[in-house]
Amino acid sequence: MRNNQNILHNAPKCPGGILSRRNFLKYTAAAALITPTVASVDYANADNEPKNIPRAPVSIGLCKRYDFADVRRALAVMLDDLGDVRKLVKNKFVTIKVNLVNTSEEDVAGIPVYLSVTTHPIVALALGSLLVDYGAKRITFCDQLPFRLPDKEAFLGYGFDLEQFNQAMDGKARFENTRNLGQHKDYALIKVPNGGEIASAWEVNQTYAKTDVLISIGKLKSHVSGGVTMGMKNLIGVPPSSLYGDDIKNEPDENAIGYRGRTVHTCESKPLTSVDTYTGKWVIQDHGYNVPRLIVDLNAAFPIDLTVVDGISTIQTAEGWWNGSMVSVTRPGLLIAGRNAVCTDSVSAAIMGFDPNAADRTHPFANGTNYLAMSRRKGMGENRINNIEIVGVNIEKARFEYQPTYQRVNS
Amino acid sequence: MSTIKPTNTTVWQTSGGDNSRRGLFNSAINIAPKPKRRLKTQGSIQTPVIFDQHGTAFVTDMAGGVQAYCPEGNPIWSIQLDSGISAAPVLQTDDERLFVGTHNGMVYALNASNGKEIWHKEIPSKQDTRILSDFLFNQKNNTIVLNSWGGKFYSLNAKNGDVKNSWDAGISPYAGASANRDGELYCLRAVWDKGIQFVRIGIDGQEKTLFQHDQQKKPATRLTVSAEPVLDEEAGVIYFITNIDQKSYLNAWSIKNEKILWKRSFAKYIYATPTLLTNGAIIIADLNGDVHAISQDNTRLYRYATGCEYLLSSAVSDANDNVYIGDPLGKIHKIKINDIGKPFFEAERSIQARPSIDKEGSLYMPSTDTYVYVF
Repeated sequence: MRNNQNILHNAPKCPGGILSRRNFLKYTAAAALITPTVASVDYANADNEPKNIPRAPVSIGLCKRYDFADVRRALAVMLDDLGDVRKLVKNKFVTIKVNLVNTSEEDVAGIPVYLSVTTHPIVALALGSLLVDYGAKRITFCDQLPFRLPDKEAFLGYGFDLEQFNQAMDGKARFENTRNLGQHKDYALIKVPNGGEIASAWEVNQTYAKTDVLISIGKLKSHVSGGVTMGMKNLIGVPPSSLYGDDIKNEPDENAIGYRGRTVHTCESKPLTSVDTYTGKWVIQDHGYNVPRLIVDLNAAFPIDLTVVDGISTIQTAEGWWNGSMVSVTRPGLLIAGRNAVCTDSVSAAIMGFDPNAADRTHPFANGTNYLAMSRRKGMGENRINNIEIVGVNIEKARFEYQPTYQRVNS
Repeated sequence: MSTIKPTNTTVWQTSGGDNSRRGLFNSAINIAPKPKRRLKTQGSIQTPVIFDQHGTAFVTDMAGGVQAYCPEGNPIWSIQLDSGISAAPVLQTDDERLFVGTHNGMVYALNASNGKEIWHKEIPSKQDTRILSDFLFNQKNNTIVLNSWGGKFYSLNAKNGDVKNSWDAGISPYAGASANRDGELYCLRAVWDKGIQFVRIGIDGQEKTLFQHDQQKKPATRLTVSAEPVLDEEAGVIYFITNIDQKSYLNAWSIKNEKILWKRSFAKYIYATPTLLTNGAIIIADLNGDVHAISQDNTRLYRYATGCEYLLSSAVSDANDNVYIGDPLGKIHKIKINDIGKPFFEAERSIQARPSIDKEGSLYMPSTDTYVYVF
């Protein structure tokens, strides 16, 4: 397992690693002393460019339909192209964060969410069955879902059928709704290396901490606040409603199922975590400032070992049914995968016809900060397309331009 | 049942052939199952191809490219505009000017013979610059008609781009306008707190709301308006689509009596503009992946399942009432009357644009794989 709270020295595969509350308080006290240094970092300044920026190949595959055999075949080739995925998961406990957004009870123009907004179950199933073939011990599919139903039932509305998964995965699949503690006794408190932009730590369901391998399956979409959303943005779903939800009042609530708008978008409220984890360096109600920074903070605390992007059938212009009729269904017919999340999402953005190194508040980051560029400046990965190796289908052939998102007034 | 005489329009200078948007070619076409050539572009193609009198094909793409090809398929000229193109372009009737709109909200008048810019105009928008609707050229007053996500329809002087008229385009202006032979415009719009309105704009600019389909459970902000009205002036009927809640409705509107003749519901939304057949039947492609043929008197003639989960683009038809449509799996289907249909070609990637037919009867099918397949 990636860690155990009693063996803290083993924890930091996650650079921050899990902290006990006592150690966390010690850490935050120390961090306070060095706050001026952390706060003075200007990430818009090219002089702060790290010397060795991590990078890893990104694989692109064409796949028109959500047919299990087709998707599995395409993913098998892509993962082999990446070279080291078999070794990554062999004899390991794997957590796969899928992108199921905030409800399964909506649609886009009558098209179900898995064909438009959320990770399609066939992509998750095909990946899971491959990883079992590669020797994974157990695979937990998770996201926080706004339902108080048992986990198995909560996932069913998104097309995720546990029996079907276990048939294809030799009984090694688990579903976990991470909206609260779930089956665990306590939360994991994960610090953000170097203090974070907005969050210095995250308090989350243990599923994201007690794992050897973290995989993110995102959907290929534009995002009004983030610019684009694939693997990295998917982690915005990690903080649980029980501590971060809009429906909690003065104390954590294990029954909470609310959206996390006030804590991870507008920053009008602090989460009710066991210790104060927010730095105060946000701009209230500026989604375009806050969301990209929170994406970076989450990805720094929870490094993704493998990103898979479902770009077979999706929507363009924005991210969800809640954006109303401005979004339209589109079909790129693509899968994208890579070991470095920044590289993978940057290639994905380029496929959509956008410059992944575009200046802040220009398309596709029309409403705020380019979190891909910010991630590079933090040394998390390469976002400049010419510096990223692409395997499989070349990017010119894969390109599938999206209509741009809208600009909020005053952005 | 009356029989429609196909219009004399043999040159499709706009999406759907002419301003009626009917998509009905005036003679039978006979095509082989394999393309005779492909036209290559820089970006994925989500707009129909249009033609001039000489058979020159004009292709616009999502990377902002505009290309002209001679009838044999050789490139004549190409230019790069400021941003992607999702709106079907239009040619002036005399072929002199090609009008194109972009995602950045720019409208260009180009010299159709060489691609050089004659004028350009920025459509004002505070938040959303996208121009997505099919353009229309109105010969009666020498204007081009378009809308943008700034929320307005515009009627621009084709000569210089000056605004002659503008009116509310509603919340989701994907759909352009259609026009009758007198130059009167018909359009649809989703209106806040109301629903979907069917509107006529007279040649003098006077606006009249002819019909309103009230919003129900879902607010107007979620009601997609992307299919254009289709005019069957011979039969005195205009067909238009209203998407309400999770269903859609095909409405048949009497031009003479200014009232709904009948309406028919479908289980899912409809993005695609309907297509007419010579017998007056109307073809609907829905987001359930089905193609429906409905007679003039609202009888179902057939339902053809394409095998794709949804259909994004419209069909075209010929004088034998054969229907041609592409689907998001890249398959191109030919559907004969009586539901005898099958796919005859598969492109590498999805098809999300309406096909076109040139004056020689060749079918042009744009694909997101950056090729136009010519059959």
